[in-house]
Amino acid sequence: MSAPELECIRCCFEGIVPAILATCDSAGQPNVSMISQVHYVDRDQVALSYQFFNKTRRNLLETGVASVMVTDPVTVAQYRLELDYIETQEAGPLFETMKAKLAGIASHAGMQDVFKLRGADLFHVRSLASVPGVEQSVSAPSRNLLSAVRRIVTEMSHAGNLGDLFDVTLAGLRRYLGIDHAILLLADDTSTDLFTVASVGYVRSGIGSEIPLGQGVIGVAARERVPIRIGNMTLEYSFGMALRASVAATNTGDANLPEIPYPGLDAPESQIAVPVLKDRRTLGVIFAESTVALRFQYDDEDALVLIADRLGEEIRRLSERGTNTGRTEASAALPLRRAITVRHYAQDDSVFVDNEYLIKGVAGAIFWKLVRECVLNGRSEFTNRELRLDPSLRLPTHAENLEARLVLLQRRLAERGLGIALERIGRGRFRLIAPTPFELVDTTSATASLSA
Amino acid sequence: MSKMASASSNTTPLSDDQADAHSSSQRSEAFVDLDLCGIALATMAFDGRPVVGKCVGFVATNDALRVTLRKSANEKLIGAVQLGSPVAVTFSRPTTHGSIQFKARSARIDEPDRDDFLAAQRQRERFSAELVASAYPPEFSDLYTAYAPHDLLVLEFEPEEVFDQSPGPAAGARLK
Repeated sequence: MSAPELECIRCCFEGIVPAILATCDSAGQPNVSMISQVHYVDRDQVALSYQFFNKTRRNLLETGVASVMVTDPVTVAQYRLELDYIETQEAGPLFETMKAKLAGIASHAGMQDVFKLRGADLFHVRSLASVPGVEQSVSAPSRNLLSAVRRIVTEMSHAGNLGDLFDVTLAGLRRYLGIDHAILLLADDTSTDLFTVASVGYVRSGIGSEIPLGQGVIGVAARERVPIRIGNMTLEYSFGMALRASVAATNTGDANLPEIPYPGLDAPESQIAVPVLKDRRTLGVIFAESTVALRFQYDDEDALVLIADRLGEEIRRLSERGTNTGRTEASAALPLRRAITVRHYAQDDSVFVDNEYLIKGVAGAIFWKLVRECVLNGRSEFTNRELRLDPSLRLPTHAENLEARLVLLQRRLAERGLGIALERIGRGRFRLIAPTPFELVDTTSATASLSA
Repeated sequence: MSKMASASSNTTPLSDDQADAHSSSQRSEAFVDLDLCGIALATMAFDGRPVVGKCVGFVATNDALRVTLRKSANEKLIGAVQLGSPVAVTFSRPTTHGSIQFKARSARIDEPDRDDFLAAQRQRERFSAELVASAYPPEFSDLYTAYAPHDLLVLEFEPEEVFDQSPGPAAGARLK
């Protein structure tokens, strides 16, 4: 029977059907056991999870060879792989990916306390052979992922600004890939957090909510710069619940540390987080989740990696275009009506509007600058360039950071529904629109209050 | 319950660097009924590499274990055993992950008799139900346990060592 390519049998490595692993000691005595995870690495490498120093482990270190049988969970076709041990990795992208996947498998099997990854044993696949048997024919897939990616990236290339790009990307995921719940987050170079700039499918958008680097599938994908995908959620990676608990605790405590609620599903079964990279640097993360177990498989991961790759390119294109700015124009003062109070905390650039939290960090500093200029100098029109050159904003060097903060600020203002808006009026230029004048309170000089 | 299963579950664990008397006896309860287990086997081929395989049934006597396997799926493995290679057979129950491994320095290949066919049929029915109880679809379990009677061979051996193979730090504890 002819043998397929390793990459054609990737669904065997989803952890749905336990694999059977055989090893020998140096005297030739075999050992055989069921194992929870054989991880597809590339077209001629797989990795096994090292969880305990047992007989299998001792044999592998002694002889360096193994035989493993894997099963396709759909067709029930079986394959034998001959493996040659290469090395054990105890940290890094492969380790983190396997750790996330193992957590999902362990949860499904009710073995969370037993399955803990100590290392990723990397193997070269010496041979792959089909095991003769009864197989089930497979009906045509319900979705053509290659065609879906083509459509999405085409629509992404037509986006005129970053905000449109984010919306088009998430709409494409829903329309062409059937992903109903997704979040787009960008990395914050000024801290170790990622912040939400767009989402689809949730009760609340969560725009502005933050995920610490290294936490949950999103944070780990961003830190390790690899896709993280799990099919059966566990508490370890169910970051939404932990974050909500944290937010609840925060809200009953220090009122100066408000958070925007993370929008995720209450009880996801499957999650995938794919980093958006540029020059080996994490720009952000595309995150998707589902209440269906094993919703995202290898092919879905490939599709999202291609979309994330294009997203990185489009962010760069639109950000660079945004920096080509015109001159700054002073404008007439805004009409005077009942004042909106804007309170700024210099410690972390948190901004409150009418005593409700709006935003913090770089986006908060930008908004504070805009309203100050508006109040002190009567300006309402601004350029990206002047923001970029303003040392008080402490903007990171990369062009996309300013654009992303403006999108974030624009969306947070829209969500607050106060009538305050940032309106683009040309390449690299925008206007601050406010229905009433501002009254400013800066906590670094609490006694000083400005109004216009 | 088979005699072999009964014997193994009553065996006191011997010394092992990872053995834990309490956990071993506790785990042995998990595989008292080997009919509910998947059966994996391995040997070493002439080239010194391990070969993995699957069995479809078993018959246990006081002294020997006869496991039934598909010829067409295990040609290399059967050839290695015929040349005198040692064998290892592991029973693993999907719902509990309780597993037990039997090892012998050699085994012989035999044609299946009536008891072997009946045992294979019983194993298929009970293990298939166990897979469904583990949340596998019936269509999957049906195919996963399928075999053609004319394609069966028997591998018979006298277990010399028995190990608790259940997942966890005590995996590998010797039971015999």
